[in-house]
Amino acid sequence: MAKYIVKRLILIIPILLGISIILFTIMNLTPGDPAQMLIGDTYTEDALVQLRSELGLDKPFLVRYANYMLDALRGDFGISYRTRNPVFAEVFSRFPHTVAITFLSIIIQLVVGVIVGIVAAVKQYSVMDTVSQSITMVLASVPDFWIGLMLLLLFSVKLGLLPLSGIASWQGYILPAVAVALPYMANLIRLTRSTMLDVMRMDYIQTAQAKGVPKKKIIFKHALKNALLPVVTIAGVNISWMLGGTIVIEQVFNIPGIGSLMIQSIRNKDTPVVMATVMFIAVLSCLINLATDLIYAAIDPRVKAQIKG
Amino acid sequence: MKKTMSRVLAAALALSLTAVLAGCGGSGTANTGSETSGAAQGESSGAANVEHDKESVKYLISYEPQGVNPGAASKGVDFTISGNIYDTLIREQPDNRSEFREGLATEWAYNEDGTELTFTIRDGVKFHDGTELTIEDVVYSLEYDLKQAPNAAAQPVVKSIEAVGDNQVKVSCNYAYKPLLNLFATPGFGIFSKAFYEKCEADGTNFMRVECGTGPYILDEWVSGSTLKLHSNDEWWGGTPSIKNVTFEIAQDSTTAALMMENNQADAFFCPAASDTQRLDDLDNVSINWAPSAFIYYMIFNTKRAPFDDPKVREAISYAIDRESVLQGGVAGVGSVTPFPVAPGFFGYDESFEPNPYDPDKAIELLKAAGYNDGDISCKMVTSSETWYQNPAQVVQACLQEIGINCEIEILEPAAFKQQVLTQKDFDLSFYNSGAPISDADPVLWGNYHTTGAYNLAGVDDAKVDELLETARMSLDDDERLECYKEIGELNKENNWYIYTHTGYNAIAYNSDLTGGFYTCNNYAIYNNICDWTWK
Repeated sequence: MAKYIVKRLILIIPILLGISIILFTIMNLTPGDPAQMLIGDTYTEDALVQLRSELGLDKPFLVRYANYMLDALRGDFGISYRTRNPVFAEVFSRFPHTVAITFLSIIIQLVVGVIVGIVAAVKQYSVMDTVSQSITMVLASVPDFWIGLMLLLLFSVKLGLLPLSGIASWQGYILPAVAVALPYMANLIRLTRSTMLDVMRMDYIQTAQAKGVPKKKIIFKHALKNALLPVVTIAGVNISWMLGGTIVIEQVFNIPGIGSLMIQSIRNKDTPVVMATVMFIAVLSCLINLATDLIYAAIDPRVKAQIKG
Repeated sequence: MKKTMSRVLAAALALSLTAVLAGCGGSGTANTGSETSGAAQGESSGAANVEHDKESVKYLISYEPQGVNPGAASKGVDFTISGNIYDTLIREQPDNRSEFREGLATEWAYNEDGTELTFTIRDGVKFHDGTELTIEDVVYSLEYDLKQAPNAAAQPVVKSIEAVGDNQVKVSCNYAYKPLLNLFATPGFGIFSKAFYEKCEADGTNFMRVECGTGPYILDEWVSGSTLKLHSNDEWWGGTPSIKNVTFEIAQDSTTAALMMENNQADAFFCPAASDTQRLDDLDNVSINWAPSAFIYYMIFNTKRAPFDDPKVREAISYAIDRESVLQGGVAGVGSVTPFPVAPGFFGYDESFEPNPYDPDKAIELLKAAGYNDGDISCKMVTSSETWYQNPAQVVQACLQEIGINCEIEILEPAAFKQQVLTQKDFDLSFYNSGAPISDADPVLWGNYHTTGAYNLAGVDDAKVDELLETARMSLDDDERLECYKEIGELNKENNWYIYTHTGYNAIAYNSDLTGGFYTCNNYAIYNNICDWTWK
């Protein structure tokens, strides 16, 4: 198992290298001059040339890339073109907020999604099933920013229970996490329900029922483990998506997270910050994928055997 | 049967849920209580019920400033913050931007030919770190500020800055420049401690994120992407500000920011979206201060490309543009029709200017006379993706369509737009704006019309225009300068290099219980002096 983990960790290196080349090339090939974005609306040609030189933009593309990678290997991810702050500090001041929202959100998704999905499957066509299916249909159909605004109106404006904006306290994380979680949760409920229904119809479950095994034991011991396999996969994918995809929610709730930093940096053509945020998300995604595979192995003996073999 | 019933029930529930959620958004959410505010917001739920301490203000800004140092300031938010941290030598009068009041300078005077400006510096001023302001700090700060890109307008003017004695600073110019005082009044020319700057340089501290000014507020904390917290400088030479604590909170989403204003969870909001402004204005607890923007919007002809190299075609189009429709359809009527190349409120604006009237029939007639029939001209108008360009450009496109010109709009991201249009000048038509940090016609007109202008996008190459611009730039006679700018307006009417359409309005929303200092002069200079604010 340790050998497998080390092998997977080593594989991350070429992935990151590939991402860095593609990203750096895209940032350089797409039209737009970072110096011109920074300099404001009144400038002279000389001032623009000077700023380009200060930012190192007058050097050839390959030289810039090589310099960037050499510095990055030494742990120096450069200076933000816009704020002149070290990029590492910028990213690491933002990521805890995004990570907190992502993980709070995944907990909500898994707890509610799995429980409601199981109940809906076990009690198929019941009122509970109907209600859950109706709600998930709506939640999966509406955009997350709209859900966010509705949550703000209900819990902050109407009821005054939670703050409208910012993360000055732990309460500030609740609504963004719920807003992010709801659409994913809706899909997870539907997925859990359908996989659970498939498993419940399998021969070994029917054998267990015929042998008189109690229903609870059938569900939790025999059916759930197998039904969870696709759920774990989707949860892993969801985390990766959410790390880079909470941009809109961060804007609605004024959360200083990675997403808002990334979008602002792309607009300003702030290449060092864009590189660092994307690489950071890529590393986390690789690690989450690895964790997902390991959880998969823990649940499914066939996968475990493959990894060991 | 059971299955069918469940499906019906599911559909009914889905519809009900949608209706309930929609109901949350549809009902009125106005909270007109004005005795509460958001100083304590965020720390606890239900902050709207917290009594305001009358010494704090939460000010929402739509984006994070690039830096707080004076030279970094290039946009409204940067100016708003650095203008409250750093003092300038002089300040513009809120109600008349050609008049000035004291800042760190108590007196200022030109020499006879207007090429030297001498400021007398106030005694006994202290920096935020407790050290005393010296004449060396003033000279060093001005020299630093002058080199910064946003202060480019001053660079060709100022020859040298030197100390005279221990309380005067002399600015020598290459030529007399009337708006020089306006330049020194912008927050871009703030004064900072030389020793502090050198210390930052020595230990690698980012000077853009820290400060050592003399202004009414001191920067306590800057949480990246979230807030900037300031407290009052009780030793400020101008007196102790009534507002002791100011929190600038970055509110990226205008709707959320407007909700915070509605619910007394914020006290001021810089530039709400047009869709939120009217709603905020209708509330009892929120007031709106409107001010004309410094930015004037216009259509640009690339006069190096056919058919727009033909003045007759450009003249025909000048009769086709319905400015009132551009204003209404492009920016929902928030602004004013401005056919002259200078924004209202700026020195050089000519109220009496008469543009070619909107007359599509005459436009068609002129096009025919130039040899173009319906559908003969097809072109591309390049504009930036921001709504304030995109929407008016669509109205202009409709106007062109009306006279048989097929105009396709190419919308580019701001960075790509700037590269294609400003740098490469690769366009047939474009829709853009111009503005300046000072309320004088010189920077904008020089940029757009002079053969050496950085924004001469139309490709104007006219000796008469150059001469008028040079005369106006170097003259100290207001009447002469006004006459030059008026003549440039007429020359543009004759040649139609640019067709000016409108000027927008900027808004600041603020709690109705706050008073004083809400002058939003223009988009650059919304440097509200928070030290002038008080709670009723």
